[in-house]
Amino acid sequence: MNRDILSHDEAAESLEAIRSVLDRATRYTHVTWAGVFLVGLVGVLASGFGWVCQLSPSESPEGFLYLWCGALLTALSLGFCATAQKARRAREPVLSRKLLLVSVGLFPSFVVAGLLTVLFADAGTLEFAPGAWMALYGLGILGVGHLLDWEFQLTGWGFLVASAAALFLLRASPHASMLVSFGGIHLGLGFFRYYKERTWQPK
Amino acid sequence: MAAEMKLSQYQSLNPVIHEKTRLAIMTYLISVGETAFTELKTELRLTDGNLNLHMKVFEKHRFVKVSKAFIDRRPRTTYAITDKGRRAFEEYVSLLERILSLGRRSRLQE
Repeated sequence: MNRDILSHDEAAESLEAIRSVLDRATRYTHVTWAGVFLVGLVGVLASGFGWVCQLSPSESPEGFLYLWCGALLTALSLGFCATAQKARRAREPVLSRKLLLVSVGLFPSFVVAGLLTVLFADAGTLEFAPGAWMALYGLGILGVGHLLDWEFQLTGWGFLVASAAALFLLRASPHASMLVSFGGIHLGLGFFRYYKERTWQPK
Repeated sequence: MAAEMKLSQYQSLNPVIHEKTRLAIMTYLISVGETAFTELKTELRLTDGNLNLHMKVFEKHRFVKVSKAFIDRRPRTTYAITDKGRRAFEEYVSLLERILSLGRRSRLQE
């Protein structure tokens, strides 16, 4: 066999390698297991606190909103700190082009969630808010799914399923649905990322 | 005839880019733009030594330009593709596409 000749298959293999690297180059990989885990922990603690203090969306809407706005801000801060720490460890800029793409992709979901929350609060139907938050968060993740690893796309679908359950089956138990979704799904993803990051070895 | 054309095309395939790891590095730099050493290492799953070795080859052929800076008192090395490197990559991809189209035509003729 003449090895001086580059065959059709070898050329195809090289082009496939280029495609595969191009795909990897657009992926955002700085979401850490610790960040996702902490976000899940915030979800669990907020649900527990809401349940203990009886902060239901129908009976104490203000308390319910304050609780989850606080939880959102805490989760975003912790997630950002964990991401920034990973970027610094890797000696890379924290505000990278890829982080900007992911943030811009998620932004519309957060805006619509905010608007719907105001609308629900005004109409006195805040019990619909948890389901709507889950649906919009899931859609947001799926919207930027092509920039993230496959498990995030699964997480997006998980939130959509949780949203359906929260809206049609668990509307009377908002703390339980928030515990399972924003707590449980994030904790599960955090554990999975921990396993994935720990078992990865450089060639 | 087809084999002769393949041979002549292979000889003009740039050996600096054709190596598998270097092809991945070049593709990443073309796609992302200026990239830190650590990002290249992590994303392409290479070791320090391996990546260093390949970057030296690129530097020698002036396919990449290196920038060194200190961020938070820690050294940071970044690489960016040069015009020469970009041209070489484009020629390489175009040659691969020509080989593929040649192969398709040969198969159709058979």
